[in-house]
Amino acid sequence: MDKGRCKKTILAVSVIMMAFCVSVLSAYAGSPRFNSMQDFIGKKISVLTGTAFDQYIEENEILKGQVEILHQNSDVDSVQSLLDKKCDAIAMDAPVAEMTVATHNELIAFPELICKDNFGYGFRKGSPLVEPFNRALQKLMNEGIAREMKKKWMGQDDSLKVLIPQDWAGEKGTLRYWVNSGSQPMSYLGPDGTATGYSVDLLLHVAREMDYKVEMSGCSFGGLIPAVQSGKADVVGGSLSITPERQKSIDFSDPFYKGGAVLVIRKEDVDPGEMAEQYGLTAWEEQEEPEMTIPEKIWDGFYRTFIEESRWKVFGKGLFTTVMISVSSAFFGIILGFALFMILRRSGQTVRKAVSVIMGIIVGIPPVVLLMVLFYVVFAKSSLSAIPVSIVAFTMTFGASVLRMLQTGTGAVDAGQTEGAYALGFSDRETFFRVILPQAVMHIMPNFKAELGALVKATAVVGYIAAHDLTKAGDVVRNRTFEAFFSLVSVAVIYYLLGKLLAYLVTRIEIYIDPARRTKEQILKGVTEHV
Amino acid sequence: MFRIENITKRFSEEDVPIQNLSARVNKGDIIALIGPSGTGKSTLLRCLNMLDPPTEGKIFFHDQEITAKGYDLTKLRMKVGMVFQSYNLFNHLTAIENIMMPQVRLLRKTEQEAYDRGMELLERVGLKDKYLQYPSQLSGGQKQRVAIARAMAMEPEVLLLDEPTSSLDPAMVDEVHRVVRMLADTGMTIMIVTHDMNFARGLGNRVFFMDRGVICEEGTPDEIFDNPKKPETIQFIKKLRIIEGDIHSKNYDLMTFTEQILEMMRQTGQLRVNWDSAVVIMDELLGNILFTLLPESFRIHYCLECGKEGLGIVLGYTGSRLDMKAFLEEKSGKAASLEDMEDLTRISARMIMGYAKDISYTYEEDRELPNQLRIEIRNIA
Repeated sequence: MDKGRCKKTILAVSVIMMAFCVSVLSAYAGSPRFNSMQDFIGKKISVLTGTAFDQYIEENEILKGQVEILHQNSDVDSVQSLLDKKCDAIAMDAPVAEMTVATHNELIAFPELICKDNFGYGFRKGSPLVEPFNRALQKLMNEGIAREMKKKWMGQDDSLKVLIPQDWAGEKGTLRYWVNSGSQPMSYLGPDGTATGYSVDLLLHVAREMDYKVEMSGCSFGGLIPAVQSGKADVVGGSLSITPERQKSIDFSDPFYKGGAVLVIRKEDVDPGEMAEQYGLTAWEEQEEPEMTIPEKIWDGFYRTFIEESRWKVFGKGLFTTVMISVSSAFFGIILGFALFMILRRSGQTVRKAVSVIMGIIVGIPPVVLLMVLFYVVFAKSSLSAIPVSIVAFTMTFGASVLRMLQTGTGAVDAGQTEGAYALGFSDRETFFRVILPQAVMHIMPNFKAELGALVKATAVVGYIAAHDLTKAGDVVRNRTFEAFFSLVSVAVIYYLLGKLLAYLVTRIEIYIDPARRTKEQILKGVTEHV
Repeated sequence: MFRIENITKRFSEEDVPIQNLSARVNKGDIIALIGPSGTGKSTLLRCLNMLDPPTEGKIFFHDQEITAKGYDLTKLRMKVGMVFQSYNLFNHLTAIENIMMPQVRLLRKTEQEAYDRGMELLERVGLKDKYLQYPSQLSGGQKQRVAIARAMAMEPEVLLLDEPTSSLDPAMVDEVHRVVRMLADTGMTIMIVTHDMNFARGLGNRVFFMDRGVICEEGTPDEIFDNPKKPETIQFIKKLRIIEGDIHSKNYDLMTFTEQILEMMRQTGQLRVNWDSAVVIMDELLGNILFTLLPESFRIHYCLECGKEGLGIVLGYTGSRLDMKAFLEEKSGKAASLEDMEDLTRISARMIMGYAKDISYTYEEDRELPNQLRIEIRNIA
């Protein structure tokens, strides 16, 4: 046996052994039994970032300080990590938990509540809307709207789950309503990609009662409170719990849904007999699911990700937004970087220092933080929507890198080139445009290609301020289908292809402007040669 | 044409390459600027086209003060052509475009006119067939000829050449010198900084000898080269340059020494091979022979002279009589036995004898350094 094969065999054997060890260990470590609240001590519990569940857990007498909390970005991520045994339980609102358990046969809600939990709508501190809103809500409640809503949104019949049309006059004006998505059944994105759900429908009822029109925007859960604080929204809420902590920052309506927080766990982690006896639960007799072959599974995933409810349109819309933000930011960034460069060439030390400090700040903070600062602080009072703000943010970062590229690119052109041009009698301007820039551009191009690719990928964070880009589109679809593979992989593939396409275009430009690739005719334009 | 009045160029407190210099340049003058390195020759040229404006004093061009504020420098520079040591051709343009672009942009000529003039000049510098080559495809000498053609295309009244051949291989120096001589024959006003004394002597009607920021002596080539008056000029012309120093330790850094020699070679424009011989001789003589033969404590004084005839090495060293001439002659002779073949000093001696033209040795007990060895290096031209 030759050396190479020997090495490969050893490698393969060790990989197999490692996999074996890992599986044995994880099997050994991964069989908790939840019979009472005490059993959760020392376990990992997922909560949605921005929700109050971590606080509730801290307020629970048994769990206080005894569990490890994992912050997840959406309920889908939480469910996935529970299924993958990356955590042992998810803290959720009771209605959300009910929905989750209904769609995932492997999961079950632990019957004991962590705490009581009331949902309300949020308003800016001191908003004059709170009082009339509460009056209208109370009236509806007295008329029994809660029962009606529960039947409509928490039932099994999807065809009922449509919002009431806004067919009233709306003479009082328009309410800007921001709602978090991904918390079925309270608030989530419907088939057409717009927000729907219990809270949304109820808000429309209240608005009808108050005679306001409603303008809806979807955002992440963490964006709800900043949106109402900055005045971008008049009212927010989907599954927003009323907590004393939040009441310091915003005002709440009266609770419209009184529920509680529960823990969702894997069925396999429960001793069925014990639980049934203790809590009288008999719900989980194994239902036989029809076994699907692998091609069927693939087709099913593909169908649900792209074809069902025309979800490919969601991807299309996201792609359009991503391309639009990237291309506009690149375009304006080039203009900004170039303008700054030209200003800096002629200005003194103070201006140079100031610009370099500002550029340092822009480059030094993560794009997502810059984006949120712009959206929730700088442009908080303006009516600029997420996409223009994203373009502003990425124009700034890309402008900074264009400036840096121009500085290094022109720095790489030998100082003798400038001297040579000056000595012939060229002005500063002509020296720059005729001699320095054409050479600097060739130094810059490879770097530029990389920066452009980085820009496209960096725009993936605009979902944080509720811009519906490609990454967000993947999240939205994933939230609907609970099918991670196709939506994530297709988002990855689209980004990759987009990057490739841009690189190809820049390479074409690079070849087009390369002076060394000109033909004799291009070099001797306007000249007749004497033979 | 140029009237230079008391100019001083101050880069910093210590770095003052030109100190209160005055001169006149007349139409048709062909002036060679010679002198040791770092004495302001290049800076003077760069003052004349205001690439490095003087910090004090005035320069007049056709009785207009170019050092005055607001003087249109682009106008001046179009009339004062400049050729650099490092060519400074525009790397993104072909040879013909390098010559055409300034004409089209600055003299507002049509492409056709610029092309015709460019081709005519390229033909004169012997590069007509290279017109579509980029600078990176040309040799140093060819680049410099294109640079001269580019400067000439602007039809300047005066041409400044700043060490045009210093970065060229010896083989290419001639082709550039030929072009400069050809220009001189057309009656062009020329100022050239050069280290090539033969070229300086044969080229023009005036020579400026610059030393420490001033024109130390000026005159016709014959006056400067045959009858220098000032002691600085005499030393420069006769000996050109001397390197001397002491060595006290066997750990002496021969690398630094080599660099010193190469620097001197660059400054004097001597043929490289001669300097290489000097480096080899010093290396072998010190490292392999003297350091082994001399006792632990010693002193060697070396002195390298570079004259018109070639190079000379003078070594004085302490200790009792050590006849190096006899030693070298003996060792470089026939090997007596196989044992001798392994003697490293034998190889060194052979190499030294190969490069040396003449060796003399004297011993005088009452001298500070009693042993004195003198080696003249064969002029390999």
